[in-house]
Amino acid sequence: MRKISRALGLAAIGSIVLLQACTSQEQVALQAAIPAYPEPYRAALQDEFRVLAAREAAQNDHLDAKRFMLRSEAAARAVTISPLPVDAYAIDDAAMRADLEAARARLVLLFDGGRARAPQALALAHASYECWLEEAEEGHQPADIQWCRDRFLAGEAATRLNAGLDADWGVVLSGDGGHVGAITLASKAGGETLLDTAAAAGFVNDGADVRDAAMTARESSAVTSDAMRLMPAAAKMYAVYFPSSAATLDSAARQAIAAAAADAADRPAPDIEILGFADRAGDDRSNYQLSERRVAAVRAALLQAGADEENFLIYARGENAPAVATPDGVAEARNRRVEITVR
Amino acid sequence: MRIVAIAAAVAIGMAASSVAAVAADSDWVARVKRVAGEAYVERDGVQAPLLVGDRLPASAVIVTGPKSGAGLTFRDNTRVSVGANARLGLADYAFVPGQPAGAAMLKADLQNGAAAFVSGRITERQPGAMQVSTPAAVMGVRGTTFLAVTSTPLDRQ
Repeated sequence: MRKISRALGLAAIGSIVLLQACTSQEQVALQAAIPAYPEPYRAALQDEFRVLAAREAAQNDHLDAKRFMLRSEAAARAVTISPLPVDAYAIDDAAMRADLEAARARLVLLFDGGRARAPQALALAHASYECWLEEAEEGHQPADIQWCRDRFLAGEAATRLNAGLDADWGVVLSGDGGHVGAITLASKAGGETLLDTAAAAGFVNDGADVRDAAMTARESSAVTSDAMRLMPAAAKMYAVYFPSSAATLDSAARQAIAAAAADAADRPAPDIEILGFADRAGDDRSNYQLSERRVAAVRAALLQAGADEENFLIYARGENAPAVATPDGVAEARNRRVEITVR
Repeated sequence: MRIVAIAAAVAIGMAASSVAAVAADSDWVARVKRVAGEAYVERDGVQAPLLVGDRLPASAVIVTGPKSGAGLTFRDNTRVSVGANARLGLADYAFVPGQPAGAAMLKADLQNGAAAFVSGRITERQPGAMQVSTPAAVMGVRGTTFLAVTSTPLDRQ
């Protein structure tokens, strides 16, 4: 015991206490020595490095024990702690170095999402990666290298699973005007959840049940901003109203048509849907013909306003899809219309 | 020689765009509004560059490369923005304007990457009639803006 303390020399008191505790299996002393940190990932990382320090100490490798203790303390304090670069170690085996480089690259990608949703597993992967680095540099204990590597792979797999990183997911976003709707998210293996609040996210792992999870703002915004980047502009509808039994355009009608044509001119590859209706006064057949005449009037006015016929989609619907429900035979101004939808 | 080359290039360009463009008015369900970077459309196993203005049938697959994307608007006003490194297959579509009781359905298949959707008249007419599938999940859309993402590795699909 005394020998260990001497070997540590200037090591922090926490480390000494730890090493004494480790060799005597006194975990309580460790808890007292190092300040707790509230973030679960940091707390877990602190523990994982302690496990490694204890293991090294038990093997009488006190230098490595000290290194891991310092890493544990770094994790415990509010210091940025990222996986050590492979370059920081002298690893002769080129294949091993490449394996470690790849592992680190994968590990770094797990932090988004894993840090919040799978802190224990991510901490295991992180500490085990550094353990693997350490043993790879020593290079003379294949069983130890294997032990660290296996723990890394287990931590990596658990992070992916627990954080839903291998999962398919859906997120409800705030729409136009802050409107929040709903989606149901069903696993193909069974199970369904309703997502109906802003930023509500559901994850489905391969074959596993559906789980709810709140997206961290950072990960949600990164994926969302890429996926939303090329969202086309919302469609806009321009209503053109007509007198009873007529297909004539008054000034309000012409204004609406001009606005629709101007809107279309501002859009890439615009579609201009011209959808004509009549009210329910009169018979079906004459109302259908009336809606055709209204559509023709609007079409001509749109062409006059500079719209390109190539983009037109034209439908006449007679009296069968009123905007306002009325009994048959009733005149209703809001139903005598052509809806121009520009998208 | 130069003229021949240009003529050939023009002919190839026309052939490529005719793969994407659909002649019959009733055959197309969505129109391409925006494209960035490398984006393609697959139809019947043939891949062609995706161009703004292309009219796509219900069987088209949108494929995007790194830092690329595409924006489409369907005939019912549903909009979709496809992110980078994505594959979005249009699987089924039914919508006729001005027929409130008519069929309404939009099915898309996100095979890779992420895509954002803003639902349109189909879900107004029939909530749940729009479905976006991923390898492991099916999202039923009741009318909203939402994001669908698949992280299922391609080799596990």
